[in-house]
Amino acid sequence: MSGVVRGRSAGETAPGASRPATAPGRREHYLWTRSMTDRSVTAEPDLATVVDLLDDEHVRSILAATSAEPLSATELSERCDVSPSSIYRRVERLTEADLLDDRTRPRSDGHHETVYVAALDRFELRVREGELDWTVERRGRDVADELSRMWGEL
Amino acid sequence: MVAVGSLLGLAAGGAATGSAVVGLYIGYHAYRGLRRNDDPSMRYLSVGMILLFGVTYVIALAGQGLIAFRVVPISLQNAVRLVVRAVQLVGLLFIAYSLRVAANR
Repeated sequence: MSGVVRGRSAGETAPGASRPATAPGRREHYLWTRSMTDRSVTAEPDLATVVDLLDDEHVRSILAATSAEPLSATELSERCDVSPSSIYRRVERLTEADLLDDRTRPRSDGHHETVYVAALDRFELRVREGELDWTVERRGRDVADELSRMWGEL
Repeated sequence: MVAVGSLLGLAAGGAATGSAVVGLYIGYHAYRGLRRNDDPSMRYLSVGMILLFGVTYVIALAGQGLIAFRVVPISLQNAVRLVVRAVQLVGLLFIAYSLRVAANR
């Protein structure tokens, strides 16, 4: 389920310019699942967006923390020692760029909360023979999270 | 007939090993689900899967080995079976309880 997308820009062309311009970040949200084709429909972020996001120290710690376990904005705010509002701002940009996934998780008090999981697995930039290649690899959904979700639905 | 018998024995052993591996795989992911999502139902599911597939496999294998090498008299074969069945039952009870925990979340 993890997808590999290659962007390419040659010479002086603006990064990612070779790909068709599509409306960014328009996605449908479901309570639990997003359809499997959802990701391919999503507009790929361009290289500038990805690099700009990764330039931010807190974005990097959000990605690192959510790669280990799903975390809510409040938990992220505590972990990264950043105010909730700046967490929300970054989380929104990350989900728009499809580098972060959001989903709902039942809480012990019966309510649900939104948690975030890193979607970015690997970002690769390669300069070779006059061309600049970049690749964003995303990870599939975690088996453990899916098991937990399905078990709760039984 | 001996060849067919040992072939069937080998196949049975292979199937038992396969179900132990798959059962422990699910149990492992249930354990990860517990760590990742603080989901208590996953604790009981993983314990249940490990009992049902891991522990029973080890007990059955050890029991068979001990009986085959005459360390344990063959008369105790049913005792080994009883232990395996009992552990299976406990494992299933854990899994059933895990479903209850999951439903009550």
